[in-house]
Amino acid sequence: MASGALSILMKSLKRRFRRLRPLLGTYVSIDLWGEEEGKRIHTIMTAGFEAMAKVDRLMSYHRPDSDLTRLNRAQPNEWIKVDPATAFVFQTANDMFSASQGIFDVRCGGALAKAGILPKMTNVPDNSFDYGEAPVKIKGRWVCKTSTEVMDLGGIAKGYAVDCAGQLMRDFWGKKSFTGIVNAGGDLKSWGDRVFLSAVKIPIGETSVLKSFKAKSIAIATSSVRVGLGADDLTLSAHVKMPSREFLTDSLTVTVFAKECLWADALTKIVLLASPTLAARCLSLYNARAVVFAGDGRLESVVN
Amino acid sequence: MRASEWSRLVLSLALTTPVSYVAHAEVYLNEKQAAEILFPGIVLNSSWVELTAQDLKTIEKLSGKKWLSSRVRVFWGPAREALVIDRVYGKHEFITYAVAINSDGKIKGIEIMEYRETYGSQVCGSEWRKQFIGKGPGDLLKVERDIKNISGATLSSVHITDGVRRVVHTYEIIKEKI
Repeated sequence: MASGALSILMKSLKRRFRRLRPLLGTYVSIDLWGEEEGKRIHTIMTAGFEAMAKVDRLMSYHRPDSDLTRLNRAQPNEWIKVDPATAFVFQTANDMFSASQGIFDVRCGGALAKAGILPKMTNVPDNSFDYGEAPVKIKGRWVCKTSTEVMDLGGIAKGYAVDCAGQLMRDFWGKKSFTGIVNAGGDLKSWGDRVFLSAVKIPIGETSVLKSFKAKSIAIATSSVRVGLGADDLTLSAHVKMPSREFLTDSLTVTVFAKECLWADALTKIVLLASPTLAARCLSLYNARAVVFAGDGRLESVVN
Repeated sequence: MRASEWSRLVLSLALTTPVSYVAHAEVYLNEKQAAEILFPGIVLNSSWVELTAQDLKTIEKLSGKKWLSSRVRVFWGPAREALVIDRVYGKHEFITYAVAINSDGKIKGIEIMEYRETYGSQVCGSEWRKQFIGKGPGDLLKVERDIKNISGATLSSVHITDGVRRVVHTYEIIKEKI
């Protein structure tokens, strides 16, 4: 009894440290609750931010020297050596491509550039389109693309960056129990024993509402599609090529809860674009669940 | 996560009344904390630097972004490394941030010190207010203060990128003044 009370007291004595940096084209916050001195906590948080910056350096569409850009500029079937992290994200992208029957496809760089969301990439091979096979082939650290279409990892790499930061900060602490949250806008991951209050932000017209909930040790990703605010709003957040646009006649916000943030990140796009049956099958493969909100903020459905 | 936990989570999402709010403000670091994180172990001297009309013109020409004030808050290190405090106003956000610049003019790091997000006027409309009938102002404030982790569509950090470019060009001009 006494030890229980003491443990509750100790938990309440943990301080919350909170920092925010501009990273990955958005704002990334890290929260840690710890009993240690602030200096050490800040060192760990800085390492967390740096882990995300590394993912950005490797997988950014905008950087001329990233693994992704080198691959985009290569010829199809030309093998390029990449960082193991890049190969891992491409492998997950290929898995998501197969699971979603081609709906999640990182070969969306051209479509996003056309919509004005990404700058047009220069010095890339001429386009010849084939969506038949997975976007890339992978052998260890070597990757080659299977078509000439420009790829963008914006729909999956941010979730992976959040996972990397979370993993690194947990490892820093060893087995000692502590709680942390990494939040990169749409992608959030938490670990430890603390239940925290969070919210999903649902855009409604020009404004937004929050739906609050409580959770612990979970990865959450949210993607919204807003229809009717402008010509290209349909594509603003979906970040994948959309072969099934007819599903998106209304504004929708999809939040996915999963174990890993890169899964949650990619699955939001699949739930937005796939049929309900296919979306449910993909979610089930990754033991994930999705909550779909309509354009007026109403809870529309819970998938899986 | 076990099935019972899943259902609890989803149920709590489904039952929660939509919560709207006007502003979400968060102070992350003060000047001293930002300096300790970005320049650990280095003693910095605080100063305000006055930019001349010509300086302001040059910085705007080089960076494409204007300073809103001619006084800039700068902390100098012994080798002319600097911590510059700046503010940017985005579409829905107001941000105070610190940029650490090495003596070679390269960025060492960036930390957000204060972030304030505001929402459109619709949240203040009567339809939205109705949701809070029966609740004291304290209830609403509690939600504003407590919800710190929001999963939503990604916010672009383009305004701060422009601001940082302005700071980098400013450093090149002011380093000659000390």
